[in-house]
Amino acid sequence: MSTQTVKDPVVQASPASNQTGYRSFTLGGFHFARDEYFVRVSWEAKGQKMTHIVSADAFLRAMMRDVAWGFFYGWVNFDAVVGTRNLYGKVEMYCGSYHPSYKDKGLDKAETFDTPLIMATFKAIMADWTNEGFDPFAAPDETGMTWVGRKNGSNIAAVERERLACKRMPGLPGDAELRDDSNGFPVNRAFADVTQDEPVVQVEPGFENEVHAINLFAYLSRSDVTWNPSVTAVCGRSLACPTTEEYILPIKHGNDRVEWFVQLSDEIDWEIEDKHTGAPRAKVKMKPGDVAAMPADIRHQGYSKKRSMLLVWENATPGLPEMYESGKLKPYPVEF
Amino acid sequence: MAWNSHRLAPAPGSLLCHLDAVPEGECHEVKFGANDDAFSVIVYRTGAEVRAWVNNCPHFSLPLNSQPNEFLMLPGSRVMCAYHCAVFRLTDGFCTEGPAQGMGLDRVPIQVAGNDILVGAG
Repeated sequence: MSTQTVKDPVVQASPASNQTGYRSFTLGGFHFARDEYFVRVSWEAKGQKMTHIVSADAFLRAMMRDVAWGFFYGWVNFDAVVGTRNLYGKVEMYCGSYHPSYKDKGLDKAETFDTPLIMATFKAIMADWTNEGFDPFAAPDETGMTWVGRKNGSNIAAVERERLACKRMPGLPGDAELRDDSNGFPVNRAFADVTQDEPVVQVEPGFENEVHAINLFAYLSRSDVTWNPSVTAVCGRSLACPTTEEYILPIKHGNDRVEWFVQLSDEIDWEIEDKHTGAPRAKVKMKPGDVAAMPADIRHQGYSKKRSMLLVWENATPGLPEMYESGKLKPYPVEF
Repeated sequence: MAWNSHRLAPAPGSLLCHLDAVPEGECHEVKFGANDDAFSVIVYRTGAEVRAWVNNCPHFSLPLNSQPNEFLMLPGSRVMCAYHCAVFRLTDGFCTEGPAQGMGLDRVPIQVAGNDILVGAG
């Protein structure tokens, strides 16, 4: 028996700043502070204080994904310097560890934390630094500029929103609900032309509970978030996670497995980099109907000039990261 | 989908494990089948109370543990899924925090006979 019992986490936070109203936070050897425009992440390396500066809106959008996705699969890079790696039971936070300029000079820092502690700290940062009127999940065109300036209220409902997930498919008895005006999911401004008809399913007697179908375009047209896939079909370890995208994916996701993308509408430009160094690997423009397999050894960031629909297909098989790291599986699913 | 619809789910009366194999306040994993498709059960004991849950997080349909028989326990009879941080109460299986909030673990009925924890009917 190797059960690990973790104490209730204690978040280290300063009193609110007299100048800006924001608290600063400490997590192990990392310090987080924000002002009217910027977030500063600090750490010590080679006896000197290192500081990395990020625009506060970009930082909040990135951290929001890390919190809502429970540190996701593999690496969640807030940018080229700061990020987390999910070790599935613990989480590594790093600054510069996957950036050659820092790493090669020994100026990076990586520290591993119990998952409940880093999650509680990140949630506390999100709660304190997200002002009223700013939704880190929304496209810039849909949310306010209230992230700028001194602390001004909060938006707890937005930052505590959980990722939608189903057991098999939305709309099945006992499963997640379909989206509708009545449950708070109006059609997004970009998808007013998407037909809302649901499929007609005619089933042979005796198979009534075996067949189910939804209008996926209608379901996605009512997505109230961007860059936040929801689990919409589950078949064993195969998860269909469609999402709507607009503006920039706030993180660079470093895969620990192959991830398939199917572009359902509009366009996304992808920048693909080496997972460990950030060296450019490829640029990919995906148009409706295009399919791409993102290899297990890259990190990617997407740009969507108009709200688009993307199907992310995940392989949730446990043990995959070890199979890729050991070389048992190649990082790409096909060889040309 | 009912817990016992899994093709490897144990039949009523099957032995899950022995009571003394489950340390107080901890989870014990019991697997039926050997490969990745195995049916996994979490047995939790606190005092005389024993409960069993299908080891399948309703968020991403993954087991709650990433290593065999290794669980992330939190105070208050709670367990955190190692993959994406969903927190479940082991007393009623309800997810109180994280991406499976509002959903729950599927309960496996049990009966305790002496030192044996058996699969119950229903």
